[in-house]
Amino acid sequence: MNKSYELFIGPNHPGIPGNFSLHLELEGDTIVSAKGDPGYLHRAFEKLMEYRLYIQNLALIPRICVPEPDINETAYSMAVEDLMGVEIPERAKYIRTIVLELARVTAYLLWMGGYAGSLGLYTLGQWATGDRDYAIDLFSELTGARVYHMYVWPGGVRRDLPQGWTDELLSYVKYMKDKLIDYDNLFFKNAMFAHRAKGVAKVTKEQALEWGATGPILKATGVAQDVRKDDPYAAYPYLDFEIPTMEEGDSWARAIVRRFELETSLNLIEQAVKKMPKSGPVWTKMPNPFKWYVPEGETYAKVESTRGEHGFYMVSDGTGRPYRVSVRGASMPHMFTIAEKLLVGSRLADASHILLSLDICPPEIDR
Amino acid sequence: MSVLDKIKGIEGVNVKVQRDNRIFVDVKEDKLISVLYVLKNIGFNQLSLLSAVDRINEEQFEVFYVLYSNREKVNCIVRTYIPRDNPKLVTAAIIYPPAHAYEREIAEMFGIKVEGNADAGKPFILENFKGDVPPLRKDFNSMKYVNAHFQPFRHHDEVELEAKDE
Repeated sequence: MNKSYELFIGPNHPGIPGNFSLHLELEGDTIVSAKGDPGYLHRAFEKLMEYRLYIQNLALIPRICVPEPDINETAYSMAVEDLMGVEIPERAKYIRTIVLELARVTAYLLWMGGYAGSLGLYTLGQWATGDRDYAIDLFSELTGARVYHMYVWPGGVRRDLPQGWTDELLSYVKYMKDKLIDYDNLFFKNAMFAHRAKGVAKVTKEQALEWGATGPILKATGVAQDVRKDDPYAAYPYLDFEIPTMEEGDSWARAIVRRFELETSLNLIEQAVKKMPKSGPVWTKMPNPFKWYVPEGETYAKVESTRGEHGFYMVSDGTGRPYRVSVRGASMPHMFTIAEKLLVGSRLADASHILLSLDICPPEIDR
Repeated sequence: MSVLDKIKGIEGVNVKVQRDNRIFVDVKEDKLISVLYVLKNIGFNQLSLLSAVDRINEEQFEVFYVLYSNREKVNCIVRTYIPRDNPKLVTAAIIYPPAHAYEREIAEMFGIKVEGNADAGKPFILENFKGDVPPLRKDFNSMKYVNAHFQPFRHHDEVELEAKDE
């Protein structure tokens, strides 16, 4: 009689954040080995980008990460600006910061719903999806699109803020800050949540650094590493904020770090709106976008996503199309070095909880 | 002693500073692993990205390792060049564990053999891929592959014209 058996989770499974498969080997309900199987979402972004003009790629790259597309546009634009030697106007920097932070809020809310759902609390999912939709309405008014905005582009942003938009934004921020108290009472202060999540999938500081963790996973072990502080871009150098950290390194600590990050993002939006220049250009004048010839060279541009460091390595050969673009998604090491190790020894009922606590985004693996 | 001086002190490297915190280091393939060891010891404790560029005109692959030092807040990009006709590389997964998955990816996408990585060369992201040329190489023709293995692609103008003829 066989002692162990195999079980597949995914590619379609409510406990998996996207189309991704996991091959588990179990004894009873204890996982003895876990192997990730990517490929269900491969759309060959890196190859397609080589065939397209720099401006055409803008329609393609937001699709690399579905819950938070703006990081892709920003990192891509930063890489192009770096190669072309373009400085973006002051007002555009603030607008980028606001867009990025609002996108972080939507991504955290989406994550919160999924994470609470994996623990059996579906109410939070309903609330968070509803609150995320208010932010998406703001995006739709600003950019004309709900999810894939294509708003940030090389040289700045596509157009100026609509009249009265910042007031709507600030009232949303105020609403979210009040709502956070409800979220705390329902979920983050809930004794059942602490009971279920404390001590699960614990990572030490040394392990997190060794395994290439970034973002909330690393912050939950006590390392305050954040691209917004360490290699500032957009308007982050002018804003005052702290990186939240925890010492425990388990699933609970990661959730609490994300909860504080959500609050930090809301504060950053308020600060950026207050400090933003009232008028001025939002785009550095550049040649006709269909005739952008980016000088020869290579660069690595990175931004902080809700999952960690998100970067674009871009090689240009001096023509109108990129020679090679390589995307660094935070989820690649999170899946293949961290999740595969953390799942071993845990219970099957915790598998989707662990995956969601690491916030793995499959499109970042199948670029 | 700054981190840049320390990197310049390593034997057999060619250093180029692109901007404040982006240092490009070119190194020969046989020195690669020892240079990565030294860089890890001087504080570059994270591997952010590992991938390759197909330099078809120079007949070689450029393999790059984006390293990060969270103490110095500096990115160091190590580049090495391997011949295109017989691409071989030694694994860096012992020094940087995340390299394991990235090496599986470049083995599949560029056809680079990675010695010491047991999983490199096994199917990873691509499923049922039947082409002779690995897909991220510059001589891989996407359109040709699609037409050979799927229903041939036709431009919508052609389809409209045919409909009119009928």
